[in-house]
Amino acid sequence: MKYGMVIDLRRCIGCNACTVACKQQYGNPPGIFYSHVGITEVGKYPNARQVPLPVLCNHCDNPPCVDVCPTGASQKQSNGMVLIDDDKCIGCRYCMVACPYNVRQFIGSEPKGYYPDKGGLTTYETVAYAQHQVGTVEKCSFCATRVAAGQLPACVLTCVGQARFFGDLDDPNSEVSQLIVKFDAKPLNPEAGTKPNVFYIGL
Amino acid sequence: MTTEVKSQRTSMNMTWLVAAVVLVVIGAIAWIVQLSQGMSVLGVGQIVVWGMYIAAFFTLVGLASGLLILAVLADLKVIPGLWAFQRNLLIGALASYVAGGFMILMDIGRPLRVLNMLFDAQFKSPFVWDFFSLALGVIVTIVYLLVAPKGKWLPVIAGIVAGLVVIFEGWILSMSAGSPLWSGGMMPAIFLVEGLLLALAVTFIANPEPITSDWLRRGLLVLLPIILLFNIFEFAAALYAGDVDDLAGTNLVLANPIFWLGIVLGVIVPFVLLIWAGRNRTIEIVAAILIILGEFVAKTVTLVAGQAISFLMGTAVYKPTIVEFAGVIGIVGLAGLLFIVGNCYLPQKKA
Repeated sequence: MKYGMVIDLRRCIGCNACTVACKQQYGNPPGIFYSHVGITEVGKYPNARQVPLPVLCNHCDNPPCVDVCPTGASQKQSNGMVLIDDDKCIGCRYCMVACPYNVRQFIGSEPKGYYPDKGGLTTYETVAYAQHQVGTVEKCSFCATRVAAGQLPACVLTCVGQARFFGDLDDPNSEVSQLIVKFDAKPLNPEAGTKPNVFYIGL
Repeated sequence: MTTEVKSQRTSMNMTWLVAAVVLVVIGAIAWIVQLSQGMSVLGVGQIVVWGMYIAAFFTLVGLASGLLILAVLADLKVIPGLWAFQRNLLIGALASYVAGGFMILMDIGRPLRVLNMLFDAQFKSPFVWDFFSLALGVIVTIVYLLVAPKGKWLPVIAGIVAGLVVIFEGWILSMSAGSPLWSGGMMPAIFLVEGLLLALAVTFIANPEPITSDWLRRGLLVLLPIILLFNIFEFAAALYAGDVDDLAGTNLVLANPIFWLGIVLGVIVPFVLLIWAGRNRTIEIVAAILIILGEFVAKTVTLVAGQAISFLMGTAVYKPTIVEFAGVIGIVGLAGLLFIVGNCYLPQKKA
């Protein structure tokens, strides 16, 4: 079993619904994004255009973040997910330096909330922010708890263009494996040697 | 020693002691602010996550290892006249190692969890190699301070440990997949030479004995061009090879006026001053101070540039805050304070 994701860039409209769904799922404070949509430019004027490129943790097979972590807080699971144990993380941020995709986030301070001028945190923020440990590093977990409960990751479920697919890369009959083969899906920045498990169609 | 000279020295020590305590208090206030308000009071963010604190850590530990290597060379009688200064070199190394350790403590998000490095250490991480080699460096320095070595085994071990500490620090950067700018084998060599350069500069300021300072000056005049050449090798290779990511980081360094200021004021100007100053002590001290500041600036710029080019999110900007400056100043004060206290209270070597 090795979980992975396929993102069909031909279907992505750059709406950032995945970004928002992820933030809602984890109650991420301002400035913290486990998943975001980068914008790349293709072609040259007058034929230039912008192409949205969703980016999240690639749950690499050869994760440099796991290798450099001094306390073992970052670990590669047997199902392929790279997860962080908040209680072991010392906040040295070496994993952030080592990640070629800049997808790890540091919770530097107590979150101020989105409406600091309106009497502090909302009820939702109070509950959600309590799940984040100040001084530690966080990132996309492929929605490990949702997946364990038989659900899809929040970003996959919410994608309005149905551009995201999630499943077992070890199973040649899974939808993700079939898509990778059929459309020659490629990972981001393969030259970094990290063997990512997020693949893109139309990259 | 006459009573008058003794009194002058005591007064001088007291001045340095007060200055060091003031700096430590400034640093302590900065740390309290940081602990109470979180690390958002620092200039680091989600892209550039290591800033001035880490540059200061590398600088201090490089200095400590350089001083330890000089102490070994003094023991082996390689540098004439330095033997009489060896105790100061060792106390300086110890003070710098400990202050460097405190700098890291100030930089991590959960300082109390530093014990996880002991109980959950993952030995494949260069950070752990650095942690344990640094601890070993402290232990070896203390032993070296207290025990007069019979034979050459202790100096040899101390020299190897000192070298390993800086090499591991270089590897922390060069083994990072996230920054092509740091990758390659030059970083540990640059760290080693920078550490020696810093140690020579500090010793040059502190030791006015003509026979020793002549040797130290020659050492600086050899190492300054070497560090310049190492930087040229590193950047020229990136520019020639044209790897997109490496090139972006290299261009970021080369386009930064602060980097060039560091090269001119920290390498070229001191080199010229040391050649043409004759025996003018004031100019010599100015040159040595410029070298120390230049090395710190170069380390900070290279460290930041290696992180600033983000994946699909443009180039991040890092501006150190007043809290960061105060924190670094406090740690420099701590190194000074430890040196003064160590000099007063650590026992002399016993054969």
